[in-house]
Amino acid sequence: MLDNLYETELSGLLNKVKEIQNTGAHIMQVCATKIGESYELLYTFGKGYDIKHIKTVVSLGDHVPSITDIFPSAFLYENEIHDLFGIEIEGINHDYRGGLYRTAVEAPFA
Amino acid sequence: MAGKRSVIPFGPQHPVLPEPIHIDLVTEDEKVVEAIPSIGFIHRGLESLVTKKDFNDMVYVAERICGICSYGHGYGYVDALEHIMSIEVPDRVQYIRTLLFELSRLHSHILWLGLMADAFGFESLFMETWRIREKVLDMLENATGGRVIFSILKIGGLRRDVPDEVMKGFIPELDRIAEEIKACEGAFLLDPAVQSRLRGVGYISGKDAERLGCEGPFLRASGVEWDNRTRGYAAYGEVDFEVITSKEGDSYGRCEVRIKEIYQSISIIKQCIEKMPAGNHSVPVKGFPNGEHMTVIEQPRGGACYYVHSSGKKFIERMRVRTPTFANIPALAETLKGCDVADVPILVVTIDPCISCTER
Amino acid sequence: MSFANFTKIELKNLFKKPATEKYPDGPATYKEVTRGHVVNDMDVCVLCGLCQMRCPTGAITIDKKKQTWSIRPFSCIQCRCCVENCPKKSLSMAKEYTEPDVAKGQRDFDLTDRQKEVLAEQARQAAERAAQAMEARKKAAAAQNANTAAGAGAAATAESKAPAAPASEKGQAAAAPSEGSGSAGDNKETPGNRDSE
Repeated sequence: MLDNLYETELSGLLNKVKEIQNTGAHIMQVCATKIGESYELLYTFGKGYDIKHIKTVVSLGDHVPSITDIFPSAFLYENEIHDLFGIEIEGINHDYRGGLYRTAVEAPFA
Repeated sequence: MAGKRSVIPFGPQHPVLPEPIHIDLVTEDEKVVEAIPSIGFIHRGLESLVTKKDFNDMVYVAERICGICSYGHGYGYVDALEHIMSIEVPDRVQYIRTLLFELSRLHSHILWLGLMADAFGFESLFMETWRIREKVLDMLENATGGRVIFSILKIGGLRRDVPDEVMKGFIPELDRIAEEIKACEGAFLLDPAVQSRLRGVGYISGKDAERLGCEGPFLRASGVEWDNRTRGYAAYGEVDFEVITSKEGDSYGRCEVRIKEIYQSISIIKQCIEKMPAGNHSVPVKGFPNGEHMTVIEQPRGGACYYVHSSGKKFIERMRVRTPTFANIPALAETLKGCDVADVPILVVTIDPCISCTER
Repeated sequence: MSFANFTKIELKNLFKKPATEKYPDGPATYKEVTRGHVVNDMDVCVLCGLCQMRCPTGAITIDKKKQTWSIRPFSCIQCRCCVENCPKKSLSMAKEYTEPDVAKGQRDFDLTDRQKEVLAEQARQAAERAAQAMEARKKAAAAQNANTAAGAGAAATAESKAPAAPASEKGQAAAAPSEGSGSAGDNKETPGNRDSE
């Protein structure tokens, strides 16, 4: 099991991320996992050697807010999630519009 | 008056790049004012392969994510699964894993020195460093049977034991490598011509580097003490080492950090060989993994995260590899701003880009 | 000063012999444990199919009808998985790397005639054992029938058929182990070799 895991609704995501940013943490990774029909987004932050996770569950039609206003360097992760899982993320500072991974089949694949 | 802006594409094919990355350089005269990186030329979908392969066989796929960081990827995957399945591996396995990890760090750093020498146009130094690297590869082949892909990791231990005599034989070899690196070190750190290419190029402050989520030698060169090995995974908790940093924050600092880490790796390997406990090389594994775990380890190029999510079936639901280069690309785009076009190749090499890892 | 540093190395290198090996002129050197390519000792192989099952890339195929063991060298990743799982230790890892080829092909290896005979002999023995087991089972069944008949006969007139039921259960239980041991022996001697019969 993951330590320091906070589960939150999609609406509370940005507040929680902001809260973690105020502690001086930096972004470590963002990833999506397909569980049945829904998707889990896992945001990982690190401060020193401490790691914190935020998990939120979204479904395919949801509009996920981008965290690039808070962590500008998260744009690659968010573009990756959009290209490989087909989750719409709104307001990325560098939006490649599906051009980061030019896959032959549009996401979602399965 | 601002100069006329033009866009110069850099890559995906470029003499300095072993792998394809594309950067659009927005330039004003000779200066880069903005850099927009784009990847995605060698995406192979290896992460999604995990849903179709037996989790034991997936170790082979994880090792093949990249040729240079091969061992680290295998280790990260195996370690995450061992945590999920609560497998305690014997001490000997931990020590051998640490030893192999450091050997692969050694060869990766020496490889980088060669690439760096090539980037600033010192061909014979490049060949000299790669000649030294060959010895490290020979040692790895002696220990595991493979030069690039070791195929020695499995869930629950190692697939074969490395005999003590073989490891004892490494010590004189390591001394010789240290001597030879010492001889080359002057060319990297003291040579005035080389310094004029490295000093002050691509400066990034420690604060910025941390904010942008940099990893590895790139971060440590800016004076931030952050090395995941101090988390004490494998046998790192039982060997002596210090986090190496540099105050420079520029390309010179990154070179310095990596050269010092070569000596550090050699010292860790020697400590491992001295303390090597006896014991089994594997433990049996039963059942299927159920749960999730994130392993954070220090690859030669920086920290890497391995996230595995499984729900008690033969096939795992998700494996996610966040490689150091992925974390360093935003910072690379930041440091490229304000440098000369001629310095771009050197700067790209200083993050030690590994695009195959990044795209998986 | 540091210029002189590297010049020293360069000068040394000028008078040293090359660090590389002249490969086609001299022999290539391999380490003791190098994973080069997989070889199968067709004198020992029993075509059990474990290697085919365990190969992560599916490079190995076994044809039990034709009695061949085939490998696609371009698919093989030299992971040594088949060698570790071989029950007869007929597979081993040779030091030399796979030879270059112009096309992705499959290399077939026939069992040696001697091994074919050995396998045929084993299959024949297994068949014999199976036949014996069948015989034993028939005998047991016959004995059980007789038992039930006797039991039924004894209790025929006055009692109900209740005592007959345990007797028949006992008879089946006696027959079952002989069947089990027969098939287990079969598997051990000639794993999956019934096709070749």
